[in-house]
Amino acid sequence: MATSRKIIRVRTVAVGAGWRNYIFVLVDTDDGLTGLGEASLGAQTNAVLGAVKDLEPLLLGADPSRIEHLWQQAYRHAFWHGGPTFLSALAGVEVALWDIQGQALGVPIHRLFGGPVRDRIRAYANGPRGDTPEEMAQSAADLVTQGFTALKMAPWEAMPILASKGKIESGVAKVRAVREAVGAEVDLMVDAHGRLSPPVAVRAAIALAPFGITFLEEPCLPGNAAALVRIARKSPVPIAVGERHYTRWAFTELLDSRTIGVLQPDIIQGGGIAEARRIAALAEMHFVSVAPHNPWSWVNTMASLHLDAVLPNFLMQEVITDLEPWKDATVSHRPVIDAEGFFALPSAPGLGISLDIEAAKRFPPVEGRPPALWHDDGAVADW
Amino acid sequence: MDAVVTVASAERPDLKIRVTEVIPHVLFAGRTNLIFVEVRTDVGITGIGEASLEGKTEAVVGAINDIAEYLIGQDPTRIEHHWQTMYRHSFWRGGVIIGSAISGIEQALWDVLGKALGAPVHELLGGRVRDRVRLYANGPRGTTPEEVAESCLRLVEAGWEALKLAPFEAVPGVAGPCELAQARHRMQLIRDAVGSDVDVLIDCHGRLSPTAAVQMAEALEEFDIFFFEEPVLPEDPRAMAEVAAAISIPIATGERLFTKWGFRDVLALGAADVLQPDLAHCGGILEARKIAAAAEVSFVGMAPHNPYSWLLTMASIQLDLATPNFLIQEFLVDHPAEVEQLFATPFVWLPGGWVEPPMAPGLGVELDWDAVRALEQRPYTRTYQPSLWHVDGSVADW
Repeated sequence: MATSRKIIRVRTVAVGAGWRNYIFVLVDTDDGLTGLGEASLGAQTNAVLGAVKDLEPLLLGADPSRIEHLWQQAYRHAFWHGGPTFLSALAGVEVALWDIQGQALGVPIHRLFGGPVRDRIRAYANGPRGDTPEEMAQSAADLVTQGFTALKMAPWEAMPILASKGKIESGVAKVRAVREAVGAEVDLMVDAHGRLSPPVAVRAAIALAPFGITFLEEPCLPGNAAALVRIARKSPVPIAVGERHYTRWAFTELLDSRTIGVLQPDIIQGGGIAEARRIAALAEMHFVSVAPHNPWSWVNTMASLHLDAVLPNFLMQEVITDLEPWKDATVSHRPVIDAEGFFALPSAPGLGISLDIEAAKRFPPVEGRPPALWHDDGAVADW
Repeated sequence: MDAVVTVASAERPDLKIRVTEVIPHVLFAGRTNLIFVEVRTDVGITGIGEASLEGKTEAVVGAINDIAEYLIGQDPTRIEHHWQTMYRHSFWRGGVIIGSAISGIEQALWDVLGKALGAPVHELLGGRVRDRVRLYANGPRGTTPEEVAESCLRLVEAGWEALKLAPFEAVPGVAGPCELAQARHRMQLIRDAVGSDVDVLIDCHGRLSPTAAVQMAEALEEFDIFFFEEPVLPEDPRAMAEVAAAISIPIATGERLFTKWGFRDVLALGAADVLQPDLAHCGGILEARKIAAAAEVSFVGMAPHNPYSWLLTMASIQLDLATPNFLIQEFLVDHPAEVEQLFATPFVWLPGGWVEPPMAPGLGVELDWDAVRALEQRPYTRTYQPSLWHVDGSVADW
């Protein structure tokens, strides 16, 4: 579509939320449209804000409708491709451009990706929380009362390279308590958060299997596909992975191995909606389903819903349920789940959510390091 | 220096030194903005490192500031522990931006430690395994084939015996007869100009498809190419491995691979004969040393990437001196004078593009801080990257 629209300004807003900040990108056009995207990346606030600034010379004056062409220039002309910092910044911009395009055309973003292939979108809760099995079970029961039919928990903290049954059991006990609390019908997922070594991951998967686990996420750290494949071959629980795999190139080897059950690209760290769509298409070639990662604000939740709407191989959508005060206060409205645990399809033009900048100012960004885990001897453990 | 030695000899330095400030310095000069990291301590020792990264200045500075808060108050000599914390506790690991920030800081910590102990960094890495270090010139410039050949000749006349050039621009996915003939013509002129004794290194800059890379390697085979760098993009090491399996020119890669994990598949697949980690991006000196050790297992050589300032050059030379499978060191020949003037300590050159081992404590680099401040105070230049385009206006890889 020919257009004379131009990008005239790129703004960022960082909102403080405990140890981390949520980062929003606003792209303004010369005809008064504003697109919104999210670029949150844990505690790497200054780095991401800087990366958005680095993109400004490319964006200012550009036609915001040439989203793919701008993405290509940002990614490929950068020479230094990718990485989570850069991709988060790029995704924040990219989603804002889709928001502008949807608003300009008067359609929700999912209409620009081939239209919805489903009528509603199943949610899963990133929760329950708790230090003890009892706390976890109570938290899980609360989430089921809210309507969730699928829950994900992270039951282990710092684990040694080889762990006794007792150490593994410390996490399994929480899973057992949750299963007992919620009954047999609820989907339970376990996020190992990359904290297990490959041999410990295999034993943990075997220990989890009796509790009917839908998937085991990041059983070991990313960075060595062969190690993950070895775990997947032995695991009785399907393996999910992807939040720390950036762009489609990171997924090809895993998909070729035909051992992974679920891919979890994150729109932010994966480089945007279109890149996540491409990753999902690769997954579809391999009969692998997609459950987009999203521990972020309502803005990325909305972006994820547009993606979920158009993916034939979509499984379910992560959403973080902790009711921090900033979350609702900073946006025009929050996406909600119905009594059966589903989100409605987004229907408003563009992204369908806007930022309340005045409200956001009430939650200034924090200076902080990410939460840290340590081994018993004071050595660094993976968080 | 006196104060430094006192600290080292008086008591265990690790119990005494604390980081007081971590300061990124952006210098607006030359081919790209230079980013230096200054780590100050409470004993008067200051360490410096380089984290320059084309087109991503603000992001790297932001990443350094994100980490600075952790380092202040820490013992700067626990280099490995801080690396673990900076890399692993970020959860969102890696990528070139945080990689560059960590690398610059890590070099500065080695500089602090070396100065505290009164030893050059290579002595802290197991000591010298060679007496001098061979450099190659990243230098021939020019637009036409004739200009490039002339530029090569000038460098050879200046004493260089190894040159690297990037002869390809936007090449279609399959090279046609024109592209192949042009490539042969360019290389013929260069060989004719420099003779048969000079090592000619070709940097493909990831601009070729796997198919075009094999076509080009076959077309250039007769010109005795020293190595073929990044014949394809590094995202899929299996594509690089396919090229390696098909051509006889040795393959070099690694400037866009980060940390030991980034190099694992390249080595496992036999995708390269030479690794080129950049000490300003890959995680730093010690991370590069680990990559070199892994490369040694696969009989692969090391040629650290370095199109940056003499600060990174010196950090790289420290590694090169202590690394058995080191091959050759990249060196950018055409820094503007204002960049060269930042450095109070020149290299000790030997004929043919070799340098003597630096023996000063730490990295062996002394900055002219007045010159640093002068460049820092220049108006901010935020340039986007140089770029290549296909004939139809679509993006080509630069």
